[in-house]
This record gives sequence, C-alpha cells and structure tokens, in this order.
Amino acid sequence: MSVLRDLAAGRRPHAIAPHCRLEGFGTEAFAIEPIMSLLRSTPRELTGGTLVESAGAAVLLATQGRPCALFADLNDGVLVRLWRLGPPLAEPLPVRPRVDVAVDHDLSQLRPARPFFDPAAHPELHGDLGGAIEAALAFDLATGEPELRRHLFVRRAFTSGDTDVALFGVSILTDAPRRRPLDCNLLVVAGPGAAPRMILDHAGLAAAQQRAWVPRL
Amino acid sequence: MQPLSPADAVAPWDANPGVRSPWGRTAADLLAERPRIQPLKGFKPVYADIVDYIVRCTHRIWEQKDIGLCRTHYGADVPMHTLAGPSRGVEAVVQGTVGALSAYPDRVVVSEDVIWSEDAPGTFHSSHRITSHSTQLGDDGAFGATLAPVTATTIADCLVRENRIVEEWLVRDNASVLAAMGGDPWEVARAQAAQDGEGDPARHAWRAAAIAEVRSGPGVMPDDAHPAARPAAMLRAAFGDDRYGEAACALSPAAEIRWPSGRHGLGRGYWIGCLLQLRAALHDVAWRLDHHAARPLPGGDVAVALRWQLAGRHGGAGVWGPPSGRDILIMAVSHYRLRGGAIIEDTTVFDEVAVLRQVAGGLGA
Repeated sequence: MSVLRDLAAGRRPHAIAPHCRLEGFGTEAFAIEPIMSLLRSTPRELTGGTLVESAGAAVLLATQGRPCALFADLNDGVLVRLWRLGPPLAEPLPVRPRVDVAVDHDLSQLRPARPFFDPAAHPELHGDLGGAIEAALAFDLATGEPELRRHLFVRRAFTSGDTDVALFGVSILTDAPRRRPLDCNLLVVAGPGAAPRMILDHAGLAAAQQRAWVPRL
Repeated sequence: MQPLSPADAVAPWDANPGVRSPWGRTAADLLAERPRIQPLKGFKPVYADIVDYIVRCTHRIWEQKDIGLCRTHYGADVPMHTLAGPSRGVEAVVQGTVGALSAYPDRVVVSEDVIWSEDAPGTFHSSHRITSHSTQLGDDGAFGATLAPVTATTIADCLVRENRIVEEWLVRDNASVLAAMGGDPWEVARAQAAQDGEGDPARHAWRAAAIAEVRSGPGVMPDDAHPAARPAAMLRAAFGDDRYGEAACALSPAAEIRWPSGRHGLGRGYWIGCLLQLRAALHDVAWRLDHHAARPLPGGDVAVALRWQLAGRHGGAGVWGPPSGRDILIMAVSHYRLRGGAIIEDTTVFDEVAVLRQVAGGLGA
C-alpha cells in the first residue's frame, strides 16, 4: 500500500480521492493539502512502519517510538478516508467551534455493556472481534477522571490473515459533580499469541478535554 | 411548473450502472473527458453522462473561472431556492459566482457525491454534495479579507434539462463557514434580520407560502421497494410521530452522523439527539419530503438523497436560545449511505444562520 507509505514519508500520493478527510490531531482536515500539512507536523513518525491491509482498508503502524498509526479507507486502491492515532502535538490546534449534542446512547436504563457493532457493516471482518472489544472496554484512557459510562462504536473493522483490526469510537461520561462527555478514537490490532496492540487518539482526547460543552448555536 | 415525482421516473434507481458516483475516484479520473455513455438529449458533447455534466460544469465554472458558462448551463429565468430566500434568473447566478470567487479565488469545488434520478424523459434531478475549500483572500464586504481557510459543505439539488439547470435548491452549512472566519452567527443573523425589516415586506412572502406548503402534507413518499423508503420513513416517524427510537432503527448501530454547525457523532442516540435539538425548539411541527433519489455506490452500498422541509413554531428554549414564538422554516437535504439496507452514514445540510435570522425576526412576518 504505497499510498500510505507516501503519506508517512511526506510525499503526495497520486491515488487519493479529492474528498478524502483526515480525522486526527484533535481536528479534521479535508482534501490533500490540509492533510499533508497536518501530517508534516509529525514527520517520519510512521516511516518504516508495519502495514496491515485488506482490499478496502489499511493501517500503517509505527514500529518504534510512541504508539502511532494511520488508518485508511480505500476504494479500488484510492485513499478515501484517514484517521491518525497517536500522541498529541506539542502545540495543540485551536478547537473548532461546534454545536454539541446531548445524547443518550443506551436508550434503556439497563445500559447494556455492549459495543455498538453490526458485523454486516464490516464485510472484510471474519469473526466477532471478541478480543479487540474486550481490550477496548478495559483500556485505560488515562483522562485523570473516573468514568461513569463508556460506549464503544465499531467504526471500521477488517481481518488480514489471522489479525483483526478495529477502529473504535469511544465515548465516555466522566463521573464527577459536573459530568463531562468525551469522545476519541482507539485502534486495536489483535493477532494470535500476543496481547492486542492499542493505539489511542491522544490528540482527539486532549481536544475533547479542552473544549467547552456548548449545545447551542 | 408542475413538480415532478420520482415515482414517475423513467428508469429504475439503479439503471445505467456505468454512470458512476464521484465517490472514491481521483480528481484526474473525474476530470478525464470520455465519450457519451448515457442518452442526454440537447446536452453539450463534452458531457459523458449526467454525473459528468454536474461535476464538469461545476469545475469549469468555479475552478476554471469560465463563469459565463452559467448562461448556457442555466435557464434564463431559473429559480434558485435557498433558506435565505429565492432568487431568479441566470444573471443572479453569474453575479453570485463572480462575487464568491472575488473573495475566495482559490476555491476548489470537490464533488463528494451526485445522487440523481431521471424523473421524466430527458429531465434529470441531481443532488450534488460539494465540500469546497478555499482561502478568503478577497473582501466579501462582511469580514474583510480574513485570510482564513474555509471549508464548506453544500448540497445543490438541480432540475436539469437539455444542458440547462432549470430550477435549483441550495443548502449550505453557513454556520460552519462563519465559524471558520471567526464570525458570530447571531451577530450576522441579527444584522440580516434588521435589513429584512426594511423595504417591501412582500419580498418575503415566499416563506409563509413555503410554510403553508409544508403544513399541507408529507409530500411524495418513496415506494416501499425504493432504497429511499427506509430513510424517508425514519424522518417521518421522528418528525411526524415523535417515535425517535423506532425511527433510529434504520441506522446501523455505529452510524456516522454529520449535521450542520459542526455536529459530528456516532450512533442512534447521537442522531436522536440532533433531532431532539430541533424538535425541542420547534412546537407544532410539520415535515414534508420534497424529493428522493438513490444510486449505487461501490461495494454494493447505496446512496440516497432526500430533500425535506420542517416547519414549526419556535416555542421552546434550547439550541437557538429563548423561544421567539416565530414560525420557522428549515429546508434541508440529507445524503445517506446504506449498507445491507441500514444507514451507515448520514450527512444532513441546512443553513442554520438562516434559521437564526428567522428567530431574530427576519425573512418576513
């Protein structure tokens, strides 16, 4: 998957859709120029990384330094969507204004501890993601605040050989006198014979913690 | 003109599979010229199919700056509907494009999808989702040259016949644009509302007429076999019957939701939260579906476009501040991506600054 390696090396890939978005660094970039600009802020963190791929998705994982990854949606080899997970920038980007939305994910007082996951939405996944889900539920986000609730959303999942890759959206409500909703992404790579590899979107989590909660325009 | 119904469409929604969505294709692929692959009576030879017509003429007008092509690509008397009010005539289109490119000269107009139907022989309806990115290098008269990077999502629904857009409905996420430029949506909305109070109030009569139309009935719902049936039923169950939980079952459990003004989240609960924000502010609501279309996407996915309107009295506090008591109109377009019959993505666009403008007393009585 040379397009991901091109991006990691700071080169403009030729096979990229003009509508490609990158979610990461606590923001979202649309189109190749802003994407390249963001990725240049953390040069070479993925150079020489390990690639895990299927026909419709790929992930490039850092093999040295702090945990870091670039996850891609592909259409016939063309990059259509990107997520960067890993450490935050030394200088966080400005928080983008948005209307926050008050949410009840559970729709029941039973609040079942299950992920929001429809296997039919992930045709390249062979299996039930059991190990990855268990690891994501137990993963310490290290927010410094206790959690009242955690919800997991399986955004992307695929199997490559005997390895499962899952990109989770994680939504928590902190347990404090003033509870706070926080959202971020978490990548889990689960193969045989080893503990699942977990890579958190630290920048997204930091941005969520920095942002005021404003459910109003 | 009598509105066309997709029920009268001349071909099934998945006919002409060679006419491909722009989704997932490179810019070079999209802009490469090709021979005609779809009957297009009266269209210029350069256009291979209806998607190519929409993507290419947008590129020629906005990026190549051949703005005068509007005069051969729009009807002379074309009505353009927006939530800030209608305009009429191709010269208004030309002037608006010139003004926008003067302020945002490097605007790149990216086609995210074109979801179309042929509603009568030779008459097409296209729903074109565009995200543009640009730099505000020129003075737009409101903020000066902010030098800000601006990303804006727009959906342009067009009725197209013989190479001309003969009617257009345009929705744009203007609150996000203002946020990018550091603008205050309330400040802008109040200034616009103050201007609306001057001059002939008859120019705002369109809004009362539109609200009356929304209250007249739910519009034309898709046939059960059409891919748009489930998303349309979802919106009707929510806005029509307040059955949000039942409605949300049309969504995949981890569906991605993008709504205007930066709303972006996951799951059925998030979608319900977006609707409840509107419904809490608006009392005595009526919802109407104005158009639907669907097209195949790669990998067996299906794209659905719904253009809808919502009317209600601003009777509740919440997302738009204290209740104003005003009748409010929303014109929105939703684009859905379906996989296995379930919605995995919802991109809904409307102009929330124009909503604030109504709350602030603008756009007529």
